[in-house]
Amino acid sequence: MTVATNLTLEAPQSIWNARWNRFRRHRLAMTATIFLILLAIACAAADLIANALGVDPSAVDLFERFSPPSSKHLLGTDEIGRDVLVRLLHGGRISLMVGLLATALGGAFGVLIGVVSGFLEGRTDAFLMRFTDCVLSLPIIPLLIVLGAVDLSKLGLPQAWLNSPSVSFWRIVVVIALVDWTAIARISRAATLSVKHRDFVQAARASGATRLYNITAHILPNIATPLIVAGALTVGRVILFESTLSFLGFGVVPPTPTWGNMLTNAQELVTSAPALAIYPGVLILLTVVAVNLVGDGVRVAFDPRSDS
Amino acid sequence: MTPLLDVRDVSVRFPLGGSWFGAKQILRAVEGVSFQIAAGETLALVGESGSGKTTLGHVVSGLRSPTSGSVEFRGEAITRSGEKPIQLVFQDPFSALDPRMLVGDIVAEPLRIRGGVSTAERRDRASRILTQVGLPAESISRYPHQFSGGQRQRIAIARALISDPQLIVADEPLSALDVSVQSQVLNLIKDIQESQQIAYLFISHDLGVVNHLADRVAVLYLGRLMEIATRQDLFERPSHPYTRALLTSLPRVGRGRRLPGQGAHGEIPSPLSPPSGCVFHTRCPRAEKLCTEQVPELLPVEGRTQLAACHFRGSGP
Amino acid sequence: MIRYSLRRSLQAALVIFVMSFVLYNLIGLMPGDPIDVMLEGNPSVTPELMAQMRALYGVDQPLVVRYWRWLLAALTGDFGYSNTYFRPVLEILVPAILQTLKLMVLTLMVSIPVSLLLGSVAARRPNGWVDNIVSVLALTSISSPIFWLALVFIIVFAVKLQWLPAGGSSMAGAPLMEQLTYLVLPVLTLASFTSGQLIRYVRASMIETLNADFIRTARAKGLAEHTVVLRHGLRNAMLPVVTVIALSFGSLMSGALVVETMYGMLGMGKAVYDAIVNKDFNVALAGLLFATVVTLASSLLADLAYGWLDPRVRLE
Repeated sequence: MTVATNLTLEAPQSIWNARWNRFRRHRLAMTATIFLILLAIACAAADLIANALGVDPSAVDLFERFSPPSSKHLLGTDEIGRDVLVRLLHGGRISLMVGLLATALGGAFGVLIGVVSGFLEGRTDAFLMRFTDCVLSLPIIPLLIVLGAVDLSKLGLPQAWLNSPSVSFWRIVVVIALVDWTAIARISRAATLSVKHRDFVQAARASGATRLYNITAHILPNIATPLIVAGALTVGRVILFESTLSFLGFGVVPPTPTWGNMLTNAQELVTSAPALAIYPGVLILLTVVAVNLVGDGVRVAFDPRSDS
Repeated sequence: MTPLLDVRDVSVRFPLGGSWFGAKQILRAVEGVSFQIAAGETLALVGESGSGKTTLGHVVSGLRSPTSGSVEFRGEAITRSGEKPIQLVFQDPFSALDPRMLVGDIVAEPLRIRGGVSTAERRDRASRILTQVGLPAESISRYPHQFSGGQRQRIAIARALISDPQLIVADEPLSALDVSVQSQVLNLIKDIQESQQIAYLFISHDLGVVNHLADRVAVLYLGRLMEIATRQDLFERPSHPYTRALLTSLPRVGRGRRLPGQGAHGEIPSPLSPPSGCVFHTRCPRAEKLCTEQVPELLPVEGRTQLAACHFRGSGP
Repeated sequence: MIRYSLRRSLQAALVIFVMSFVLYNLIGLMPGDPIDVMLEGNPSVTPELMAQMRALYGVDQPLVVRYWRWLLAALTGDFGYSNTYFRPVLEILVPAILQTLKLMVLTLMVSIPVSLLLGSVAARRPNGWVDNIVSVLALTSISSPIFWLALVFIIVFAVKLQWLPAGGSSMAGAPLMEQLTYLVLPVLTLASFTSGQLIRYVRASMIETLNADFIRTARAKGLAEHTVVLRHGLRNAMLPVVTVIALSFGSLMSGALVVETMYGMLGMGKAVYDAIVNKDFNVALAGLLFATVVTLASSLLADLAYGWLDPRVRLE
């Protein structure tokens, strides 16, 4: 070959490096990330913290009802003398886990629907998208309540399993995932459509690539960006749904504490102990704000145009 | 001897619209096209945008099945899936390379899809082929966004070459590049042409480039073949008025005169409702009543090697 | 365009039909069965009587048969009886629906002007201090659980400041002003909940519009800034905003359910919630179906309005 071009290549800076640098410069998103990490650690270490403070999270102590913040009970106690801080941390576990798991489950379903729909086009696409529109046009909270009220034994699930305490947790994960996958499905479909007609997919097809190869090797990596952003927003929404459902009594049921069901009791005590109604709500608010900010940061970090 | 590629009477029609109520319209993208390519030969396919060049390229490379007609590669029908010794080079070098893949993986992709080649060997062959197209071997560990348009087109060419194809379909590989880069990539293609026995279907609207590369030229208008001839015959003695019109519009540096005849006037008609008879008659300087009524067949021009679809083929203007 | 409207309406009707079947099944999956609920706590009920009752009400029939009967009756406006109030379902739901509509309309009357104002003010200088404040407000609004928002409003305005009643509704025939005081907190809560999303859309839509060429032309012509923003900017930014408002009916409905439960208002949401808690199957089913119809109808309207307003869609 006669052609030899003198070109100097830049150092192989990976895309991820560049993104991380952009993300780091987004101050709000960084603060939010740190907050979420600290919150997650604190929730995970709830039992250790309880031990260190010398409180038993489930102990009822009627002599210590509504006690104000002290060195033992940093945020005071509730109407039957349980430590509020430790209960909040335990509730945080549920909220964060439901947020992540329901998003993962619903997201996986949404990506499946969206990618298949966008990749196959035609009748399959029309059918799947009408289905998605259907679900999208339903009033979510009433639907969640009905789903949350469904008697699982009528579905033929084994009674032994239904009696285990984790059922109300998994049920809320599934119920929310069943309802909140539509946004991700639509986003994956749009992204798939824009990627599948790019020439690199055609080139692979011309070399004999199967559909599965194209979806896994080309489509999925290329639609990851909008999906990560949508996923972050979904986590925030799911946490709100979970707290609303638990608050209304159709989610995780007491005595397992969640931010939502801690507010159910607090509702009746607004005159005597308004603080009990403030803490869980503030935590929900801060967590969802933080998740939204992280999503925003990811969007900026993944958008190469924001480099200027 | 069987030709390498045998395209026989291929038509591609797209149904448009066609909801529950509306009547379907049919877009005739390609109508009754036949040609052959011999091993190692370069056939250029020229025509204006909308003439069906790209669709025909997709049919040849197996990306699209023809509505009717057949495409055979060394005597065997081309299927939409399965292994093919045909590779593609696209017009837009930005869309042709997956931005999420390393260049080495992009170039070696045909081997990965075909299977049976180890990762280490794929890497090795990718870096070798990249140096062949004039890029440093270290390019394999870079991402496409670190390369310019011309360099990306080299990468695309490397990907096409790696699986030792017998035919490369190149769809306007130069037209998205800067003029200065165009000539470099053109030279690269010419070098490969000379050093390796690969046949090309070279799709272009740029007759200057075609004159540089092609052995034979096929002229497409509204999905139909107007003329097919060796390069020399076509450029020196075009026998179809449309070919003459195309050549007239070609700037000729350093020559005192343009080819006799007139350029095509007016707009290219819609392929949804192509004109009756000879599809070119609405723009043809010498159209007569016969042209509006009867479709001219693609027939040999007397005393020459070329075929032309014109009632007045051969008779000068 | 007429063909398009017709097709979309047909589609929506089909969706409602399918959804009615799905909801019927879902309700059937709720704990207990209607006859049990009806005869609950009555010691004189024998198993034979139970069986008789089941046959009488058709509960022993296969699901599809029961659904079909229910559907035929529903189409004539007969949604059955409530088994908590022992009155026809519609008699319970119609006043509740009116109450909810009042809440929703008042909410939109507050949130739309507020969102348009805040959104366009923020869009005038993206990333300026006004924009930042508005963005924080909007972010807080979309990140707050609505039931907690209601709780906070009750604590602040009803318990601490004692300006407004914490819930319930006025006596019948009370003066208008008194009736309104009971609506202030619910409307405020629901408006804070819906405005966040709306503000974000208005802002994004305005920023895009204000960057368009025709706005620059208007500015270059020397038009006053407020004329540019209002006459040219807002008007063109309205198109996507109108769609979003119509599409947000579903979430407005969801929000109304929570707000009504929180403030003890006798609206649709509360009716559906109580029906589910009390296993009042017929009321729950009709209520849910109504909520679905409203959301579907509003998204259908949004689609059609978009078609009329934007000629590009019409041509498709």
